[in-house]
Amino acid sequence: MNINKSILLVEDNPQDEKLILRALRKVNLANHVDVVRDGQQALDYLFREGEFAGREGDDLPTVILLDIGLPRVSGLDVLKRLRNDPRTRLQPVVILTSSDEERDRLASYEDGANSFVCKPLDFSEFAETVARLGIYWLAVNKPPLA
Amino acid sequence: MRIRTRLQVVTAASAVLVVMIALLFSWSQHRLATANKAKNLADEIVSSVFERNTLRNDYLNNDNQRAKDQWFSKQHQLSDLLLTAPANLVSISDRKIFDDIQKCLAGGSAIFQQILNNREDVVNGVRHQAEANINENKLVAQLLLQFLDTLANAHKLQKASNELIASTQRTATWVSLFIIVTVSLFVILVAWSLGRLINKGIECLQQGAVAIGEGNLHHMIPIESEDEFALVAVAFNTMSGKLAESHAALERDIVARKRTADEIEQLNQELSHTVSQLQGANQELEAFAYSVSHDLRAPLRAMSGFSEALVEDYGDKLEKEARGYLEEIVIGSRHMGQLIDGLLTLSRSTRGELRHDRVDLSAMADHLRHELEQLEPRRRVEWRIEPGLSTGGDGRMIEVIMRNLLGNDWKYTAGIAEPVIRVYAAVEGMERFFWVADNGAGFDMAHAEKLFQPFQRLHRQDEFPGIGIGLATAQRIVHRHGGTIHATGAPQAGATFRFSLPYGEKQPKEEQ
Repeated sequence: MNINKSILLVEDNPQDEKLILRALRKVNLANHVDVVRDGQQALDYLFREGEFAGREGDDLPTVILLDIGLPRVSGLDVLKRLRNDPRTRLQPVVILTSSDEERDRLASYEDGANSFVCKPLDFSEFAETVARLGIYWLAVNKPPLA
Repeated sequence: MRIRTRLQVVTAASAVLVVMIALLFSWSQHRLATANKAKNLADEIVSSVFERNTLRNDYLNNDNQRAKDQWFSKQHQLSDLLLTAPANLVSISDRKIFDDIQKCLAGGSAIFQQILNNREDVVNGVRHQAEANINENKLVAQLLLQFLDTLANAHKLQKASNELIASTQRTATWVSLFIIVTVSLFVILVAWSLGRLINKGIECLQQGAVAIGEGNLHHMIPIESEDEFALVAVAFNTMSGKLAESHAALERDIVARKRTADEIEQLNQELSHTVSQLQGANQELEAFAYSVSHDLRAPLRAMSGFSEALVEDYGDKLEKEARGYLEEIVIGSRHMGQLIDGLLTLSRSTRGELRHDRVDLSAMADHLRHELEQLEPRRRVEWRIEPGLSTGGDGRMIEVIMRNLLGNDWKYTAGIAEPVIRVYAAVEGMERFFWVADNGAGFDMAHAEKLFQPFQRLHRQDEFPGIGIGLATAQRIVHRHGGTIHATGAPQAGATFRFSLPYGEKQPKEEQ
């Protein structure tokens, strides 16, 4: 697998973060994941600002796994900022959330999400979903700028 | 005095006028007839006297015996005439003249008899011719005097008669003139006063009508007389009084209605206030449900997730009992997850706009059947789904109903030898119902009312697992569609649910 490919996980719940990382580890993708814990951090990471001003590594992640209910800047606001910036306009973003609400789904797609995934309550289902997501976006999907 | 009385007086006066003129006419006719009779009598007397004179002269000069007889005959005629005449003579002066005439005639007759006697005396030789002649000449002279007297009296009678005729004509003329003028003056006076009275009455009524027309309902027409206008005025005043009364009642009614409208307005305001409060409460509930779906799920997932991870990663290092405990944690978490999902579905079923979809209920049931069969491919259930079942309503919500009902059917037919699940439509009363029936475990009708209450279950978890919220959700959705849902069943004899969806049935067919 291409070493340059990476995932940015934006998740404020440390337990969900651990479960996601565990699921990705099971399919050997954990080394490709960077984690930030709120919307502002995500924006700083992506635009190399604030605490991430001197960040090393790839310019942008292959895919962002973005939660909606985030502290400081919400997931949907992060998405809007990305879509309004020419540097991140085409950035693949997957909304990964506990919400199964129609309005969240609609808002996500309207703001330009590439995918909407509801975190399953059942652990094994959850692990399988996350693993599939990782494989799909890193291995199957062709990014806009490859 | 009443107008009718006045008019009657005028009519009576006119009638009196006619009667008086008629009386006057008949009186004058009577007087004229009397006068004419007296005149004729006088004329006849005159002519008879002249004739008798001629006959006497004829006898005296020519000794004509026939003339003598005729004289006597004429004398008889005159006597008869004079005998019947007094009835025709009215006035005292006429009577006196007549008496004089009678005396003259009687006198004449006596003298003529003396002449006859004188002549007989000569014939009989009682008297000498010469003496007789002297005597006769004397008697003839007396007779002539009598004749002239009679003539004079007859003329008097003629004159009196003529005067009577003239005076009667004069009197009749003047009296009729007087009557006509008097009665006419009276009629004119009465008509004039009547006209004034009517004019005044009409003016009063007109003023009253104008006043009432301008809205012064308390206007009263002054009652100054006792005539028909007074009656009309009384009726008019009664009418305006009643009008004022009903007007006042109407005003009171309007005030009352206004007050009612104000009260309704106030109630409406209170209602809209309550509605906005309810909307606020609903929004809070929605926010609560949203946070339940998000905030409760994550820790739950952590609990079950790490438990399973523990079993997966370190299962071989755990004792069997420890693994059993961990499994209980997973089962509990899963059950709680189902409760959360059920609560969310129940909450969603009562909020949000109802959509207007056409729903193919048969296809929906078939789809759910496949879902259920995939979950437990080993089970064999006979499905009897009536084809072509279609209705309107919110498709996602109707799917929740069908999912719950068919899920129950599937669940409660688990232990049955030949399970059958039926879906069909039938009219009951005036309404079309959809029926979902099974021949499974059923329930006791004594507990039927508990079926639709949230978290109320009629079976133990170890018999049939569940959270007891599906039928409550189905009932809320049916109610939102304006329908009803009923359950019938018996232990070990299956359960039958029927529900109606009037909201969907009323949708126009074009939306298909």
